[in-house]
Amino acid sequence: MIALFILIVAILNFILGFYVFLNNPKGRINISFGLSSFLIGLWVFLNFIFIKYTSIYVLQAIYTLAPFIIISIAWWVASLQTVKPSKSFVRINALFILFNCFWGVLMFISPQMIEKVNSALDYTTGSFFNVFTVYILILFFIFIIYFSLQYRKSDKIFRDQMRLIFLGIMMTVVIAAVVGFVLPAFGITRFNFLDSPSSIFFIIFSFYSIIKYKFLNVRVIGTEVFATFLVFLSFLGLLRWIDLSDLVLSAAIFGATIIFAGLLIRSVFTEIKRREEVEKLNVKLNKAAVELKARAKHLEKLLQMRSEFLDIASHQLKTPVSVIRGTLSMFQDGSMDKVSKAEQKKFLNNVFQKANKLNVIINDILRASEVDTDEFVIDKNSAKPIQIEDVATCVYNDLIDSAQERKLKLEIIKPAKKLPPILSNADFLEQALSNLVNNAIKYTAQGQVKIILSQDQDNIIIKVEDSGVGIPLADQKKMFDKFARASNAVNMYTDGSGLGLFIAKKIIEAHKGGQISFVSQEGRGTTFTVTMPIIKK
Amino acid sequence: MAKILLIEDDPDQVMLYSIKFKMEGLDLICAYNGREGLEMARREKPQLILSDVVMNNMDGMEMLKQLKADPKIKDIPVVMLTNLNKKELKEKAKELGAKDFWAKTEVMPQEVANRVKKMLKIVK
Repeated sequence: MIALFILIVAILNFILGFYVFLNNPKGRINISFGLSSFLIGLWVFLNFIFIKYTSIYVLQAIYTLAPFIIISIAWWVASLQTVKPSKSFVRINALFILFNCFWGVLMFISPQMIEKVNSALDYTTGSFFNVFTVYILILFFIFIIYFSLQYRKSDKIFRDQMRLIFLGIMMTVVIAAVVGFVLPAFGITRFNFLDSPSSIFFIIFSFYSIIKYKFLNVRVIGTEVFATFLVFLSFLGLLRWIDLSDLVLSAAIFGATIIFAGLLIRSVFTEIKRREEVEKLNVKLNKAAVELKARAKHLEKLLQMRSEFLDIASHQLKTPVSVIRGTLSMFQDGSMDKVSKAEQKKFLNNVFQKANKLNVIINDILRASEVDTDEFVIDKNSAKPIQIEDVATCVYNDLIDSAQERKLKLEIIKPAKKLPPILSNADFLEQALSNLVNNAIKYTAQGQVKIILSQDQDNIIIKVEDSGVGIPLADQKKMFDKFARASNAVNMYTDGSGLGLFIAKKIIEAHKGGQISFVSQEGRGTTFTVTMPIIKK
Repeated sequence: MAKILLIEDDPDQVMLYSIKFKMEGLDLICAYNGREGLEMARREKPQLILSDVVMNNMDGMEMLKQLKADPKIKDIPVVMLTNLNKKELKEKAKELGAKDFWAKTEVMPQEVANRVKKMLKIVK
């Protein structure tokens, strides 16, 4: 009777391990749990064999297996954590596995471990067996300490699950340790038959955990195991028929059990599937909510930037408008009749200049809006191979008059050999370069402005060098910002929009690999450097 | 003749107000940034200050703050005269002690001169 019970416990252990493993053969948790269950099942099965055949080799195998079971459960506990086991954990385990192997070998070769076996409940242990018992107890206590540490680190659901399974393991291991190790060390072996059946506690608590907390997400496994158990029991009933009517009844019960088990598994499958779908939808919903939140935040930031841009842009636009309106209002109310013709002309000239400035600002604001988006890129769809010499010549022709008006020397310096082409948009690149050269002219009182073209292995290099006022160190960081103006240049030139460098940078950086930077020294001049990648052949 | 201090960084605006105020019999003295304006206020003791807001080297709001913290000049009325026509800015200027807040694009030089004269009579 006890042998049959042990066999059932062994089979249940195999079933439990096998199903947990099959549920997710790649999951670390499932693999380690499956292995533990399998080893416990093997241990129980060996006990069954031992009771049936009373062989010393089987008993040696049972004792050899015991410390490996503890190690496998420790691995399972480690796998419950999201992080992989530490190197020190792996090393300590490897050391214990080595010790286990040592004891295993000793178990089979030394008569000092198990001296002789008289029957399943009567065997004599040797002096080494006591040392082995101490080793097992040490291993057991180390496991308890490790388990407690992991338990404290875990979240609530894991704690509840682990508490139950820990209780099952504890009951199994404590009973097994007492009847299988401690008592035999004192010469009492008659309770040994109780050790392996004690793993029924491990099975019961594991099942309970599976059903109550969906442990390892395998509620369906619990149902399958339960159903298999019922089928197994009814099958045993079928085997023990006495007469034909008993056989018919048992067969009917067996058939009904199979149908019931099938329906039970199907209903749980359906529910699990539905729940999984709900969970999937929930995950999708959460993901969408997170995305929406991020987009709202991004939009809010864009709106704030837009609002700041509008504030500054409206100020820039209103500044010339207020002068134009103010001056014209004085012509209208007759105030200007009282000033000289020369002064009237000067005011009209101011109005004209302010109108021009307004025009520049409007154009620049429109261009800045065009280039100030993530979508603005100059790639093979919007660009074609162009010669930088051609672009530089266009800029030179446009601005030479303005340089000469200010008595400045404007020149292009380029290598004798034709430079390799770059992939760009001529209109945008001309605007960027024109902004740099125009600034150089406007902020240079005397001397020269040079456009220097050259190349290195991968890039075309364009330098715009002036001998102007330079940019004070404190202002250099903000010079590519919208409406930025160096403090030493505020009153020098008022026709600009304050967007020229911002636009130039956006255009250059819209090219893949395009870069712009500058070096400047106040009072000594500024050199802007643009690098654009050469088209690879 | 009433002495008015205009703190304004745009020379064209300064020129416009200079002519209009002279025609209206007002003595206009000018500073081109907040720092310069504060020094001039301490030195010249004007009866009214008209100040722009956006300026380098101390903006109009900072100038107002420092002026109101100086016992010798804190009683000089200050009017912000700017192209920034934002509600929050107006409220902040009033909080700091500005007498009023006028938008340059809305109030023409003649109207500015009229309001100044009216204000000085009230002050007197």
